[in-house]
Amino acid sequence: MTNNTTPSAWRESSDRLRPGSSSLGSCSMGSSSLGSGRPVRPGREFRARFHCALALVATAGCLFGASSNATAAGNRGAFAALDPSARATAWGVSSVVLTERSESGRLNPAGLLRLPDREVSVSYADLFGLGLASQTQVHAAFVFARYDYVHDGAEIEKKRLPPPGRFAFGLSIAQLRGDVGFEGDGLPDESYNESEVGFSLAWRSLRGTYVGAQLRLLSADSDFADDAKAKASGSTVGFGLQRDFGAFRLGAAADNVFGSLDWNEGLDEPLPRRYSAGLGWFGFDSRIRLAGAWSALGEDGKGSTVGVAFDWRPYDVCSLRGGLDRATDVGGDQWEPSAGLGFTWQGLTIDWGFRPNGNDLGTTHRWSASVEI
Amino acid sequence: MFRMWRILWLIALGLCIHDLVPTAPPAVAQPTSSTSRGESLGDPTTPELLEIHWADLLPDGSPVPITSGRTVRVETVWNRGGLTITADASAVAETLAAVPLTVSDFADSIYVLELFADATPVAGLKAVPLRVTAADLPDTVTIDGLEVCVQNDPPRFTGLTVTSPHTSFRPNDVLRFESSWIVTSPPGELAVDLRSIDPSLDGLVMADVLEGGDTSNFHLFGLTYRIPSFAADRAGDYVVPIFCTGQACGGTVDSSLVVTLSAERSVPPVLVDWEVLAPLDGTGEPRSLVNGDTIRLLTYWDRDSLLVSGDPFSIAPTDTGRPSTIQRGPGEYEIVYTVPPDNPRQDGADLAFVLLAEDLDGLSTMDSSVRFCLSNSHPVHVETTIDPIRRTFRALDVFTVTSVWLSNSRLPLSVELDLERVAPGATRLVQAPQGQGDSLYTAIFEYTLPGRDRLGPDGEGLPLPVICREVGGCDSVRLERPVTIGIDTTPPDTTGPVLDLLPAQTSADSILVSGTTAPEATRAGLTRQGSTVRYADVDPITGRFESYIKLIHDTENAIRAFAEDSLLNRTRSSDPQYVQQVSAFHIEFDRPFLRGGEIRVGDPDGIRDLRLALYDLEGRLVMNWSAPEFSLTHAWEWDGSDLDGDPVRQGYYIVRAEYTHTNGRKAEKSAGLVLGD
Repeated sequence: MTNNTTPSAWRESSDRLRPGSSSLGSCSMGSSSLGSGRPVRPGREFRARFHCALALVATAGCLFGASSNATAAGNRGAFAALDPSARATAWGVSSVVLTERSESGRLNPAGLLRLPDREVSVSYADLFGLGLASQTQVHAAFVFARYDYVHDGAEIEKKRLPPPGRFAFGLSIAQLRGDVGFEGDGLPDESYNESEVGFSLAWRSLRGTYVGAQLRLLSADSDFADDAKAKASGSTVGFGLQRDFGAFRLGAAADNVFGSLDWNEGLDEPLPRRYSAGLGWFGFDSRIRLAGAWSALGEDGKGSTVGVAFDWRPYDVCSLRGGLDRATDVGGDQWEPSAGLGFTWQGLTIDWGFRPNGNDLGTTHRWSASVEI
Repeated sequence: MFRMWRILWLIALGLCIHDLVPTAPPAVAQPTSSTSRGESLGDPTTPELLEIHWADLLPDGSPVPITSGRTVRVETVWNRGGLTITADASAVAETLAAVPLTVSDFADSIYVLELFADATPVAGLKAVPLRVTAADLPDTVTIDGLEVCVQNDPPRFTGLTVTSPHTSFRPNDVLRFESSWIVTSPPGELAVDLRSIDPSLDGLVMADVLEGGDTSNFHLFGLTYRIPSFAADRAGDYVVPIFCTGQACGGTVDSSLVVTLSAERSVPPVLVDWEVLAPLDGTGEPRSLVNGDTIRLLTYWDRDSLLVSGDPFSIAPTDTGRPSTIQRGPGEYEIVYTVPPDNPRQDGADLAFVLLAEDLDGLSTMDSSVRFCLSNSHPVHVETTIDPIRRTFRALDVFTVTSVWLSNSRLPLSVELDLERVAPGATRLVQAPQGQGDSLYTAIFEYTLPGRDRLGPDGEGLPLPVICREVGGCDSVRLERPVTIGIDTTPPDTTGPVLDLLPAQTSADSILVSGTTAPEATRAGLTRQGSTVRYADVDPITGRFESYIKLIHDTENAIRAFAEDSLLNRTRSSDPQYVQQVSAFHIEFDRPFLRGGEIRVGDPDGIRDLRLALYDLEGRLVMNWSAPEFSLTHAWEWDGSDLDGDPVRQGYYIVRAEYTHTNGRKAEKSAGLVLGD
């Protein structure tokens, strides 16, 4: 006979982990804001204060960054925000809500907490199918799970609890290579490369809010005859959060909040900030997931994208995904449908996603493979 | 209690008696009767050896050979009984021991010696110096003239088959049997002791050697023997010993042949076998009859003293002559008959030569098992032709073979065409040609050759044998090479098409490829870099073909052609011609592109409707230009700002050009641009 009684002081019930009645952003410094009048461990008040302080710092950073980059161009350049996985390619901008695998470190670090176990994934894409630029990414995520203690007679058994974990750590490596010039120009083959290494951290904050932050180290290089040209290095910091409200999930991310990109020649150009937010619905035991999201680039909102996505998992081994984005650039608006498939077998997941470019530049097919360790 | 002691006493008594029974070896002959013993004790006659001879003899009177481990017996006859004799035969072989065994049952004066040898390394006939001594004989009696045969490997009997159709024999029945032997010292002989069934015989009857001989160990002997008349009271079973000898001394007797004599007669004569002695062909086999042939038929019957005759009605219905009969042996009769030269009988097969036989008891039989084939007229090949006349034929080609034959036999003909050499596994074509006039027959075969995989090996002069048979007759004529054809299973043109000369370099997107191939090809395939990109029809008269194929840009295009016929047989590909496609269109800019620099787009042939756009790696438009007018080159100076006039960040961008070529074809080109400061 097993006694599954858990010491209440150590236990964090799923009810409390699940989105509660308190609203998002009710960040009070007092312990009474934790609601319910349940006993609170010493230090919990301090942690709540820390989280709120961190959120305030992030908000201040956003504002500061916005003001300090008021003169920066509101468009993309180096280190564009490319899809980190085939799943993200299939979902489009709604990935900020739906992501919960190892690529979350690049999309929305808060999603790392939803990983059941450690995972490594790799993805590859020939951008727009032109044979000019290709990108390879590797993501790894390590989840520090929560444990429960179960009484079994005189013994106490330590039992790992399902996601979310206590906190998660992510590592991302990305490499982009672009051929320079035109095939028929008769000039020697030269290329431009972008490399980045990202470190992500996700933790659970107040009332089931998952918070994450990411630091990326950037390096751009080329093999031009003039070694000083087109070389840069820098770093950037981003944040993300996810929070569940019953069957709904809110996701938001702010990328490139802090950071700089120092070119050997010319002006230093911090990467353009990107804000994303979306809302998702998870039904039928999460076998059907719908989401809508919005993303904006730059302070003037130039280059915004709005889209919807779905993820249908008819069987445990396969998933069907699709999305529809409406992207805006200086040329106007374009519809960009996307779709993808995923197959999972014994911890190995193979995903494929594709998205035709709205400007008829070509279709990007991206392949990913993920392994649970 | 008393009863138990009595039983024990009886057991003890039995054991004592058992111990008292003399177990001494029979080395000392013991008189068998007290009378003879008593007489011997009082007989003052000096012992004298009167006679000595072998006690066991073979049917031919020779002694049974000594074989290792076996004994032979010697009988000695003395002038009186009551003797104790000893013997010594070790002079032949040390192991050969002569053991005085016992006195004979017939007379007290006959003593039997037993010669025994464990191993006899010597073989053959040996004179045995046998010293025989009686106890009260002062001197040793030595006999040197006794010959013994030492034979460790005599002939071995392996089988006996009675070929007579009888289970019991009556007077004049013929006993035929065959017996097989292994004779270690060939040649061998087989003697049959028939004196048990024929007491009048004064010796053995030698059997014939049917197989084996001077050098072969295997011998098959056969004997044919007519059972003589015998009295009814002699009916019964009789063992007929058969005795096989080789060159070495000694022999082996087999007694498995048992002949049953029976007095009753109820079965008519039976033809056991027959043999055609004439006419024969060159190989010794019987051949078909022609008028005037003399038939010599040797028949074997189950009994002797028969009246045998033949009836040739089926062969010569109008002949009134009868065959003659000659007895060749016991139950063997040869029948001789000559077919009349003017025999009008139509040719035919399976014609019975009826045999008639009657024995002395009046039982008769008629046998129709002897058959002959009468063939006075043979089909004569007149002509065989093939149409069309070609050196070689290919798969699915059609040809016609016409074969004409002459036959006066008035029998219908069947003509076959053997296609085995041309199309292995193909069924023979068979025709039953109708006669033209009285004797001319024409068979026409139309044949479509199978696919390449079922055609014979390539070659010329492959024969198409023709076989002509008489239906109901016995003639079959096979012509091996009345016509020959050539088979070619290779594709129609293995050398492949010949391409017209192509330019070594072009800026065009596609090029017209033309060439010539064999007219029998139906289409030509054009390959680029080894892959088939287009098929072109081949002119059936000139063999010309042509088609446009698209070139791979900025690459040396290897262009070949091959041809296929209607069966998709494919030739080898032609030698390649290399066409360097040079993209005349170009996009040029500095590396890296610096703000204020120039982007140049052009084509020597000129372009129009040019739209040039710049995209970031997320696929978002940054800048674009357009030039609808026709021009050889276009150039734009770009200050590094987007369409809104905002400066564009440094990084990697994609330049996309869409334009219309002078030939009206729309094209798209892309290039990678790195924007720097």
